[in-house]
Amino acid sequence: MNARAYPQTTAQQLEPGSRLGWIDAIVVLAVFVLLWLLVVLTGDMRVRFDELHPPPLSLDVALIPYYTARTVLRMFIAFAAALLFTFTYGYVAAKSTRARKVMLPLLDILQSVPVLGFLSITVTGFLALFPGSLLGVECASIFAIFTAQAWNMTFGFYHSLITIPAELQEAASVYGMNRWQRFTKVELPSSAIGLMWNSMMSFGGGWFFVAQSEAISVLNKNIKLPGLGSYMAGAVEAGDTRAAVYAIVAMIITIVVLDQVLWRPLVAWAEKFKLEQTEGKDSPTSWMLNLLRRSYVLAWFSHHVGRGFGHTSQRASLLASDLTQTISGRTPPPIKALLRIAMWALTVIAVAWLIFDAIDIAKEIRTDMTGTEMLHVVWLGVLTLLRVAAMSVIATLIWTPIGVWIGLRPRVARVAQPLAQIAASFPVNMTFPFIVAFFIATHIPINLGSVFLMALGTQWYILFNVIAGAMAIPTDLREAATLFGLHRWRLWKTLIIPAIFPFWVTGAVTATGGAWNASIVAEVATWGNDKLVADGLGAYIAQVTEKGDQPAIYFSIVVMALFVVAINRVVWRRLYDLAERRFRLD
Amino acid sequence: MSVETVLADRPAPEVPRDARSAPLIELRHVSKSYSGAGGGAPVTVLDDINLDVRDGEMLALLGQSGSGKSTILRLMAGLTEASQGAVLSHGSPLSGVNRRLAIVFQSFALYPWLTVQENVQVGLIQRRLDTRQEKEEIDRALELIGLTGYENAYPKQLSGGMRQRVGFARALVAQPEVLCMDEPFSALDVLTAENLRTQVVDLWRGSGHAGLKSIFLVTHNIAEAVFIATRIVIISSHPGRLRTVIVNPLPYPRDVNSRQFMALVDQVHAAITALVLPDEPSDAVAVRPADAGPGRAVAPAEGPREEATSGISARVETIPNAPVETIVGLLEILEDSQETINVFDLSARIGREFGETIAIVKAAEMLGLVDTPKDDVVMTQFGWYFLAAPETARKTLFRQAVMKLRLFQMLTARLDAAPDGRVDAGIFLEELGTLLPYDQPPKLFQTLIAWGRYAELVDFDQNANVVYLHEASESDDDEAGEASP
Repeated sequence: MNARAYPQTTAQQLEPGSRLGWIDAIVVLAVFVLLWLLVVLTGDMRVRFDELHPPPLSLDVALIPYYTARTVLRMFIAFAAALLFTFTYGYVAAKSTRARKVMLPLLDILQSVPVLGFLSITVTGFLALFPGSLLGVECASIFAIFTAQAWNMTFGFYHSLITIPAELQEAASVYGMNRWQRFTKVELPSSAIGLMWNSMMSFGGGWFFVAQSEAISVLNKNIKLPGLGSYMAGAVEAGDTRAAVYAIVAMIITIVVLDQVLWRPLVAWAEKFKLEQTEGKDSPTSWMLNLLRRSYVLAWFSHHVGRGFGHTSQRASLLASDLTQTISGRTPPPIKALLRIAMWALTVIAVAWLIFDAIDIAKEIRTDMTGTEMLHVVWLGVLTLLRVAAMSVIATLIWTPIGVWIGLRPRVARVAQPLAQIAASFPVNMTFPFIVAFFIATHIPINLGSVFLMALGTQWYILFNVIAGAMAIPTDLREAATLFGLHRWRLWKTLIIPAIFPFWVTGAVTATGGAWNASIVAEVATWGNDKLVADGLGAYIAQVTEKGDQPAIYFSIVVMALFVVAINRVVWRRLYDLAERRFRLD
Repeated sequence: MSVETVLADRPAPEVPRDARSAPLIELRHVSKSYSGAGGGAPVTVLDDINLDVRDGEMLALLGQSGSGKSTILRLMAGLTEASQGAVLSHGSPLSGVNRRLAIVFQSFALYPWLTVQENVQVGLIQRRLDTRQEKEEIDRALELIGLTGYENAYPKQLSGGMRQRVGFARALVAQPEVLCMDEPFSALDVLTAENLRTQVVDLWRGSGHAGLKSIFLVTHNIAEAVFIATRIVIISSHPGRLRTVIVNPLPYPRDVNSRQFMALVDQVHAAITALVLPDEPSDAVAVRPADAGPGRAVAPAEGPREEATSGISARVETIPNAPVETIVGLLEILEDSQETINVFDLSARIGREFGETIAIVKAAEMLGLVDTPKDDVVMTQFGWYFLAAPETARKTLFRQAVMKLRLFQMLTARLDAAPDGRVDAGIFLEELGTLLPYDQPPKLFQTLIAWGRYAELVDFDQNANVVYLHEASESDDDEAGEASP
């Protein structure tokens, strides 16, 4: 069957000979089950919520599937929001050079803000928005996941948009595509692959935050949303090891299943959007996609409904572009000018409002915090910085040789790379309690142990980027190295380190960014009644969040964001430039 | 055979215009410049272009790569705007994209995720047909262009030639008045290109195509222009200026082996050569030793081109982007071919595009290694001397030769003046931008460094982005300094 690499047109499968098969039964069933789940679960999201009587959380194993479903739904709602944000923000930034000048730096800063620190503030905001309903907490959790996913995806989408080959854009102009046609026929397809991989990574990163944001203690209240993360937290609180293990297993199964039935098929399907003009050899494949391509129902659906929808959208876009053209043609210039002024005025008001808000917060901080306290927070930032640095050095020393070993062996890499990706998705914060128990038993101080906790979640980024780098070393360079008898250190110095360097930089940036966020979780740890607190900015943020000390929260978050931005500017950007200039392999 | 050559520095006002052939597209005194990289001086790519595309002609725009010919096409299409001057369509100024033309792109510009059929459909967007009519149009175009049966294939499943056919089909279904082709055959192998070229001519002559009034071809291939066009316009580079218009009256189908065809190709060759390597001695032209022959490698020790240096050219002249080894290679070829070789033969022999060949010859000429009477390339005495010398001596000679060039004099003077002999590359880039506004500073800088490195004169530290004097050359500095006070 040659439909593996390229989806042959569905027409082929619609020939009279093809009939409904067992796969169709499964597809139809799956669709109905999903719809039913959606209705039930979204209904459950809106239940009454009373701050004094939080909904009970049962540790019954039979409820795990239900809790898992709730968690997954949360993930998808956040992902949909992130996708929507990506399209609008990325599109505008790519299209308007003026807006870009503000939007890109803003995105850069947003990316550096530690999401978890904001949880208490967003929870109070959303609770006020939906009084008396669990929806508020639900939204806060979803918002936390959203912020973990959106920025990275937006950057990726923006980058794909501005790197579309010029002639493809020119052809679109010459043959008169309108905006919608250009978006659907040119821009979306050309960014599809990048978007797909980015989504997969961001979605994977989201598990960490869903696990963390479901069970939050803010303003001295313990709020638990029904979900796998809260189940885990509940199990830890109760000291129920069995339940905790079940939760972890459920999490692993969920990640693997989603990877197999959703992301792999999508990645394999997106192959057709590759911009290169020749057929690649090592295209990703997916058993799931191959199965789905045999489904008559899906083929029928995409042929009739899909095409009809495409057709209608094209016609509608033509109508819309005609309409806007006539309107803009007939609108007298004064009105246009007025509209433009109104737009500017709105922008100015919004910015002014933000600035006033910021000034208010700054005043609050000034009155509530003493100078020494502020200095202390900065000092804690330095401590966490040391921890982050130690984490990246240790993770690099451990995982680089392993990653290179794997990457130079294609057969091993084919198995190991997806595994590393899944490992990176797993929310390690679920396992922290066990490790903390171990720390307590062996008397390892949390000040050191937290480095290990941070590394647990973020080391994978270094590993799979190194694997990718080692896989990308051209064979002729390796053969030359063998011919000239390069060994050990000489081989590493002349070939391997330069070749994997750009990949390592990418991995290390992601890892350290993640480590800052993780510090909020890793520097404070509990197991039953034991609570360990390290000296660090992360622990500080966690503590003030729990107390609900708003000025301190704002201040410490700003400090952490500044640390991240500064490190990015001073260290990573330079290393990026160096990698670009010196070590590119093409 | 009557072939009429019109030297046209300003062709537009001189062209007689009868009512029937009012220009479909017209460029009037159009200039185009881009802001320099990194805030440098703007680079002018096109300078005062006057050009019209008339009804019923196949116009070819011939020029080297980087001459701005693709920019002219994009100006006509309304994809980019002129910095100065006007672009007219049927006599009225063009605003936005020109809907009366279609483009066949060099890279095909097909959407890899759309099938052949869907790609061709893109050309129909403006015509707003219903589904049935669209299908008919697509089928007709695919049949005409020889793609029937490939409707549901994806571009990457096709060969290069087939892909460009899709590009043609897409352009044709748009029913353009002017069919623009931007180097449409240069990404194809020789045989495929040959075949497609013939088809384009057939298509034009059959001309059953509704509304198609003219074809505009952008190319660097002389034979291709002569094979297809009824009128050939030659554009010079740095900045792009229209120089020569050649009318091609040869009847179709044209026979590439006929005497007239070859004569016309030679004429175009000669016109281009005259542009790039002018015969009359300018301030940069070398002494012309009348009888330099093989075996006469004993050259005067004082080196070549005394007159040029004693005349001290105040004008800074750009250097062509030619690697040193190609210049040496040229000399070796000249040695094999008894010192003289025709430029076109040379181009054919080294298998390079004509423009590239000329750049190498020009570089050698500036260094005093060769001379170019008419279309011929002759080795100078200095050239013989250079070729006979061992590698280290070659470098010394090369150093002497480049030090006669203003650019290198300025470069070394700059480095000498710097306290530690190191100057930031950015400063040079900026200076190059202001000195030679028609060149691209980064490219020129690269050539400068490459020549300077071969001459062991200067070196460049990429990490620090700094240019500095080559250590070993310091002893020779005085010598070089004397040569150019």
